[in-house]
Amino acid sequence: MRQSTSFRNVEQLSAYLDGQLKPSEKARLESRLQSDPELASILKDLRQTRGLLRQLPQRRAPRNFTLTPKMVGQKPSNGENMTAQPLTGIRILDLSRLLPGPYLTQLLGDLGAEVIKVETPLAGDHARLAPPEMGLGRMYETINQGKKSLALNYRNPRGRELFLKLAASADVVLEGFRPTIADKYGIGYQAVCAVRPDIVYCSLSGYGQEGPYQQRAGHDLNYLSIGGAFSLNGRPGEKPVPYGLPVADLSGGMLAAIAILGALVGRERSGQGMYLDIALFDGVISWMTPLALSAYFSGLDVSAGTHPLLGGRAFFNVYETSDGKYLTLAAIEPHFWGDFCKTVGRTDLIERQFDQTISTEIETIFKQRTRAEWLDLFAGNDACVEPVNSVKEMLADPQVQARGHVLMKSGKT
Amino acid sequence: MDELALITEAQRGNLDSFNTLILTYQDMLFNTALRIMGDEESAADATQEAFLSAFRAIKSYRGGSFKAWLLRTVTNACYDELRRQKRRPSIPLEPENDDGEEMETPRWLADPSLSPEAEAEADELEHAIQHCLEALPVEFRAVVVLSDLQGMDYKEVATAVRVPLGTIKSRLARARLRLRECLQGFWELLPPTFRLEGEILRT
Repeated sequence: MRQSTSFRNVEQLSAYLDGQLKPSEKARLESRLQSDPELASILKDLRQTRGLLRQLPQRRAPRNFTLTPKMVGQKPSNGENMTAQPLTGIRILDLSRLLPGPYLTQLLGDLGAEVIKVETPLAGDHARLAPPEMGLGRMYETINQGKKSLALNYRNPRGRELFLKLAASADVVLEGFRPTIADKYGIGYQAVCAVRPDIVYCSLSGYGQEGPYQQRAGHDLNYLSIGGAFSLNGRPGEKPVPYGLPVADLSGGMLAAIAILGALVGRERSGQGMYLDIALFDGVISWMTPLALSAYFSGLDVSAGTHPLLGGRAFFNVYETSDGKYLTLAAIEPHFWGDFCKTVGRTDLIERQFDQTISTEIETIFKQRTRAEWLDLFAGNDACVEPVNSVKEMLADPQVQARGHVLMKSGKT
Repeated sequence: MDELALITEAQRGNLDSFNTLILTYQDMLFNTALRIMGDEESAADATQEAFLSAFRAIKSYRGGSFKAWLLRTVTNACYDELRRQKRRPSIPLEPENDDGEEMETPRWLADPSLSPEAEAEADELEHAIQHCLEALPVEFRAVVVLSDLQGMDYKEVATAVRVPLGTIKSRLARARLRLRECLQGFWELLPPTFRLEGEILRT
């Protein structure tokens, strides 16, 4: 420091830099600065020092500092006051389209995660344009609620750069391209890992990142047919019918959501991210395991309508009533079956629960009354008889209403 | 929900609302602590402690800048942590080779992510600035971090560290002067636009 400059002057210069001088003091100092090059030089030094400090990079917090009830001496919530937002603060970049990926990020978004859909500017998510006659009308709105959306062409260098910048602030990246495409665009796991080493990166594809089918195009029906599930959906001797739900898309999406949640929990403990290779096809195999595959490995014939719990026995089946409607009977446990037999006045059938020859008799029984009459008769007992609701009937069902699945707005659902 | 509503909810004991505020401010508090403490682990401890204290004391928040209120809390947490470290200094592990001799650059201390030259220089400059910050007395360091890194005005800094406005002016001027002198020792790392006047005169 120059010896001739008093500390009082330096203090004034410092305050001048920050705009903290009174107008009169400021005017006096500015006048002195004109005639005192040493003072002007110190001012420049101080400004540059302050500039250096301001240029220090801002680091991202190494972890979340959110507090748990235990840390603040609160009792864990019993659920009544919980906002059910445990993923608050988790940012997900969603590059996927159509149903499986958006469905899974909707699930995570409902748990509080911030979901940013990253779509290419011209085409975007194809579900936006899907015509109602294809059966996809309003699907986009249904599985993309509360998400943010960003139009970004990650196929060009500038778009890729912006994507990676965003990825550096993300916890999860989800992509639904065919294998190798994300790497081709420069937004694959390795590229994201370079900017966010603890990223949880999920590739959700039809058949997975390896194996002979990895590059095949496909949809739900194909995954179910290859996975063996489709062969079970029908009656013996008849051709299989498509499932009423997109089972592969939704089971695969759920499987990926579970894998992502597991990876996030693991990251909390280890600080390490993870790459997840999930196939929609995997969801089918996973869902085939508890019933069909376990039955197969126990030596049972597993084909359409033969498995006891897949239409092969009378106690677990669908029946037509006298008014052309349908009821399901699911009396697996002997005491439930007993309730059924007593209610229909056929206690002689109690001992024949597993008899394959009684199917026609049960069909005949159900044809004797209308669906509403049967439901009145079975109300209050444990026979496990319920109506096969249409979509419209489901929406009006008292249990669906009670669980809050349907909200009324201006008199409309 | 806006910030005020979240604060009101937090004052009623709603932890979810307070956690939402934490997510908004945790980077800022961590950076403040990092520059005052000098290492990530101590900074993370001070940040966590600050949020815990803030939740316990949130009923005493009476309006004004919530950011400034939180920064005061983290500054206090840093002071406490530094006092604690002074009382119970830890013994650093000296890196040694198999023969028990101290190693100059042990492999496990090397930063594996060192990459392009520019990045390395930027890292070095940041380390140089951090070194100079740590050479300041902690009272000066806190003032310069709150003012120059977090952009608080003098009044907010005075409130945060609970000293008169005049003291803030004085501490800030002294801190900047000392930093300026210290940084001249690292002149080769400074970008041309930031070469200090003193250095230009010297060459």
